[in-house]
Amino acid sequence: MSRIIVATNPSCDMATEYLDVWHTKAVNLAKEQADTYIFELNKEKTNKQELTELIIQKNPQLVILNGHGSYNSIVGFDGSFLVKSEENEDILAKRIVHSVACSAGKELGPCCIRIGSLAYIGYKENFRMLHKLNQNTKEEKNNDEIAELFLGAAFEAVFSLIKGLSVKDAFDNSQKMYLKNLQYTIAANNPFLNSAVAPHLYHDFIHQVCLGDGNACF
Amino acid sequence: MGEKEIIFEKEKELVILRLESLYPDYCYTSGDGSTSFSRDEMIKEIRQGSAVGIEIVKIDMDFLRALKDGTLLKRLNEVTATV
Repeated sequence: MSRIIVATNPSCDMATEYLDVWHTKAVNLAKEQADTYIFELNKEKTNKQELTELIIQKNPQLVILNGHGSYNSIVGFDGSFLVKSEENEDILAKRIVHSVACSAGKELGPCCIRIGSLAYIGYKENFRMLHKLNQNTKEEKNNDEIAELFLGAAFEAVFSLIKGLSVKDAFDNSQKMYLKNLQYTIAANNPFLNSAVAPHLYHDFIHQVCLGDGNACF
Repeated sequence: MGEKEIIFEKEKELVILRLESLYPDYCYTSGDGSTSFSRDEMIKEIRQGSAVGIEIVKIDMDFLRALKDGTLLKRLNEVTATV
């Protein structure tokens, strides 16, 4: 059976443009895998109707939801919800969900598990990220080593899922990368890394959640 | 001012002092994701007691407490042991 991924990529402001850079790495990795197909919703196409139709049409085993979030929803390009608990979370039933979005791991994630999603990896509070000033192009964002400390750890989970590792191993790999990045920032002879980056990395580390069946694999 | 408020004011002062040691124009941070803040804007948010400012103080204090009580060191040792 083919491995199918559906992914959202609103890329509508500075934060989601940074997600776009790392989303591209996930897309490229998926394309390297055997019998694996990834279908993306970019920019304006990141809306509830397009997502619903694509999920019904392609029946993905893995859904990647990048964007802004709240406790009970993840939103698309125009700020309206893509998925919201007690509204349309059933589109995620029987699938593995990975989300780099604020807070949705607190209510939407558990709601997905209750209605039959296999697993959910995301964040139960705001996803915090520091980045360098004035990194306007995609290339500049890709070379931003401060943002990489946050996004490299966050996306390690989805990279691991795409490679076929279990949900638990994907989550563990991401947590290990957070700890390695924390070691680096705490030990560095640089007050910016010690005093600004490390606390926010620690925040993301402790609020990343893994819900559902840890043995599930994409 | 109650004890909690006094403690929070001292926490704010501590976090502002830590932020003031940074380069002023080095980075922005994404608050709710759609807005970015410079170092000085973060300090302003903390002084105003906005939701973003309160969150920045909480994040920094959670980190400092984890350093102080050994929680973070224990987790860091776990990953070192597995490498």
